[in-house]
Amino acid sequence: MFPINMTPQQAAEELLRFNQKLLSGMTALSKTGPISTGVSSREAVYTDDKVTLYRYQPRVEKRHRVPVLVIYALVNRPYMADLQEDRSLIRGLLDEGMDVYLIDWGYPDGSDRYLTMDDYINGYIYRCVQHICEAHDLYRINVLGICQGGTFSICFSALHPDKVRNLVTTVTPVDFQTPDNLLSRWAQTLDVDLLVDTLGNIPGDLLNFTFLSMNPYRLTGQKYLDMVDLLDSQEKLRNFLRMEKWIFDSPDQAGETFRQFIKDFYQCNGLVKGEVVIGGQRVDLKNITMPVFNVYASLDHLVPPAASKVLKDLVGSTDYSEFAFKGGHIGIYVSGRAQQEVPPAIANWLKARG
Amino acid sequence: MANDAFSVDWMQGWTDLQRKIWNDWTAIAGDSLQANRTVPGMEAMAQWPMQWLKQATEGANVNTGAMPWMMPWMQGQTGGAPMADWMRMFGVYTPEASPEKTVINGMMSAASGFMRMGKEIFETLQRVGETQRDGNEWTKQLDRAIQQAKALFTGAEGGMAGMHPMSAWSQPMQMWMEMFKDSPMLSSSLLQNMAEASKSGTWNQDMTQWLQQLLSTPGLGLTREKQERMQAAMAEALAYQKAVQEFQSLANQVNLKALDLLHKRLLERGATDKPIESLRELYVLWVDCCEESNAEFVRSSEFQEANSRMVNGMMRVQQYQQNMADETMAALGMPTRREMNTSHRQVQDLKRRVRSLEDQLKRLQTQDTSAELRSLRDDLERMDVRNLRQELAEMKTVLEDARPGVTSAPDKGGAATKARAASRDKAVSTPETVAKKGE
Repeated sequence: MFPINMTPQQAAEELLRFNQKLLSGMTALSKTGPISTGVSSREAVYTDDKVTLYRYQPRVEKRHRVPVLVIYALVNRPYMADLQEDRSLIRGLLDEGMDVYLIDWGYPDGSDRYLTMDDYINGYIYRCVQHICEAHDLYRINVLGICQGGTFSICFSALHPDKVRNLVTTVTPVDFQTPDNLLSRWAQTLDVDLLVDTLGNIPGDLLNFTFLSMNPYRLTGQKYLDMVDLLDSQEKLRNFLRMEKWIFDSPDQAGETFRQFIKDFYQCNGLVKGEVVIGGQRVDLKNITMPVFNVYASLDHLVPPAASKVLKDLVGSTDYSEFAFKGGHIGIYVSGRAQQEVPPAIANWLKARG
Repeated sequence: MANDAFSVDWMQGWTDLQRKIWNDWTAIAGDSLQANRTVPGMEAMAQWPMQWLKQATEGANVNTGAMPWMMPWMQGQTGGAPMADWMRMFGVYTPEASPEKTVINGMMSAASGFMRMGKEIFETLQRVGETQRDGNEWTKQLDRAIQQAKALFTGAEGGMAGMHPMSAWSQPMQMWMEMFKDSPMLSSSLLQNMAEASKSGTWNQDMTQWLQQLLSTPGLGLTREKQERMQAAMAEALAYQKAVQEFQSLANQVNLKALDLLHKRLLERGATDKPIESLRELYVLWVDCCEESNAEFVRSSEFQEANSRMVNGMMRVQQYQQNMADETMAALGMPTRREMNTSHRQVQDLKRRVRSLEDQLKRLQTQDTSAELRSLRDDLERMDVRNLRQELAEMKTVLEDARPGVTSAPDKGGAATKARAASRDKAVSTPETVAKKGE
C-alpha cells in the first residue's frame, strides 16, 4: 500500500494553510515587542567584579530562618530559574517561604580570561556566602546548585563544610564519564590547551553550537516549523521567544576556568577520583558531611541521571536523599509539572532540616 | 489535476495569499524603507513585491496544475540565501541578535525546507496516480526517488553537497551555519576564502600539491624567518582543509544512512497499513530519520577523531593568524594580543593579592582582642603579683625568725599560710571584683 494517504489537492491545501499561518505569524512576531525575563522582584545586595548577588523579595510573611543561595552554571544565564511567572523555580521557593539569594555571574570579557575555579569557588562564592551569613547573623546557610553550578556547590561544600548547613544539587554532573554522556565523549579528544591558548575566553556561540549538535535537526529545523502552530497565540509566542532568548543568551566562558573544568572534570573525572585541586586544596567529597538533597532529571540528555546519582556513594554525609523528576535538563525548571513538584520537594526537605 | 474547479479555487487562494503576504510585509517594512532610502539597494527592493507578484501570478497555471512554488521567503532576490535580502531589510529595524530575528531566520529556513519538501511530494502524488497506489509500482518510484536523493551526496559534487542529510529538502544546517558565521571561530578570512574555493570546486588535489610544493621552498634573505612562518601557517591551513574534507566525507555517510532509514520506514508504513496522513507527518518522519542517523554518527569514535582534527586544525591556523597580526600591530606601535594577555594576567594576580590582604586586614580588624587582653591582665594580677606577695611574706617571716630571742620554728608553716591567704584576699579584692560584688 502506498505509504502516503494524500491527494495532490490535500497536499496543496496543507501548504496553503501553512502559509496562511506563517503570514499571520509574521504579523504577530512584528508586534511582540521586547521579551522580558526574570519575573520575581529582587534587589542587588552585593557586587564583586562582574558578579552580582541578588536577594529576592519574600512572597510570604513567615520565612524560613536559614536563607538559600542559588548557584547557577557559568553557561547561559540564571534567569532560567525565574523565566516567567508560571515557570519559576525561584518563585516556587519564595512561595514555600524560602529566603532566596542568587549569584549572577555576569558576562566575562577578555579581562576575565585568567579567572580560575579557585577565583570562582574560594573567591566569589565564598564572599557571597560570607555576605549572607553576616547579613543574617548566621555561620552557615543553605546552598542550591544548578547544573555546573551544582558541581561548583559540591566543591565549595567540600572545601568549606563549615559554611554550608544543607546542600541541594539539581541536575548536577559528578561522574563526568558515564557511558551515556555525549558531551563527555566529545570532550575526551579535545585539545583544550590549544583551544584556550588560541581563543582566550571560550565564545558562548561555540558552546551553543556544541549543544545544538546533539539534536541539530530538531533544534534548528523542526522546532521552528512547530512554532508556526503557536503563532496565533501572543502568549504562547512570547513564551517561545522567552525560551529562545535564554537559549542563545550565552556568556563567554573564562578561559582558565574552562580549561580546568574540561581537563580535571571531563577528561580526568577528578571529582569522582578525588583528584581535583582548587586553590591548593584537594576537593574531598567525604568532607561533605552536611545533609545532601540530590535532584536529577530522569530524561536528562546533558547530565545523565547516573552522572548525578553517584554522589550518594561519595559524600561523607549520613543524611543523603534523592529526588527524581521525570523530565529533561531544562524541563525540570520550566515545565508545568516541575512547578508543582520540584520547589515544594526542595523546600520541604530544607524545612525538615531547620 | 483531477478537479479543475478545485484547482481554480485553490490557485486563486494561493495567489491571494501571496498578494496579501507582500502587502503586509511591505506595510511592516514601510517605515523602515522610508527611513532608509539612502541604504544601497533599498529603492530596488521596494520594487520587488510587484515584480515577484507578477512572476508568481504568471506561474500559476490552472490548466497544468503547476504551482508558483517560490514563496517570498524561499528565494533571495539578488541570488543570495533564502530571505537574505528581506532579512537584511528587516534587520534595519530589528535589533541585532534579538530573539525575534533568530526566530524569523529559523522559521523562514524551516518553512522554506518544508515548502520544498511539499513541492516534491505534491509532484510525486501527481505522478503516482490512483491506480498505481495499490500495486508495487510505487515502491519502484520510491526506490528511484531515494536513489536520486542519494546521488546528491555521492555524485561528482557529492563531497560538497552538504554536511547534513536535511540538505536534500531543506537547509536547517544552512541556517545553523548562518547563525554562527560571525563568531570568532569562523570569521577568519583565510578560512572563508578556502571555504569559498571549496564550494566553487576550484580547490582540488592539484592545487593542494602545488601549494605543498610551494610551501616546501626554503626561505631566503632578510625576511627568511618571516617567510618560513608564513609557509608554516599555510601548511597548517592545508592540514585544516584536509581535516574539513575528511569530516565532510564522513558526514555524507550520515546523509546516505538517513535516506536508507527513510526508505525503510516508508516501506514499513506501507506494509503495516498505517499510511502518512499529512505533509507535516512526513516531515517529522524525515527529521526522526536524520536525528537517528546523526545520533549514531556523533557517538562514534570516527566522529570524535574527525571533529577534533578539524577543531584543532582550525585553532592552529588561527594561532598563526594571531601571531602575524601581533607582528603587524607591534610594527605599528599598537598593543599586541600577547601584551594584552600579559596585562590581564598581571591584573588578575594583583587582584588576588589585594583580596588576600583585604581578608587579612578584615580578620585583624574584627578580632575581639580586648577579651584576650583582659584575660592576660587578670593572669598577671593573679599569678605574678600573688607570687611576689607570697615571696615577700615568706621573706618577712624569715626575717622575723632571724631576730634574736624569737623562736617560732614550729609555727613557721602556719604563719606562712596565713601570709599567703592574706595576700590572696588582697589580690582578689581588685577594684573590678569589688564593683561586681557591689552589684
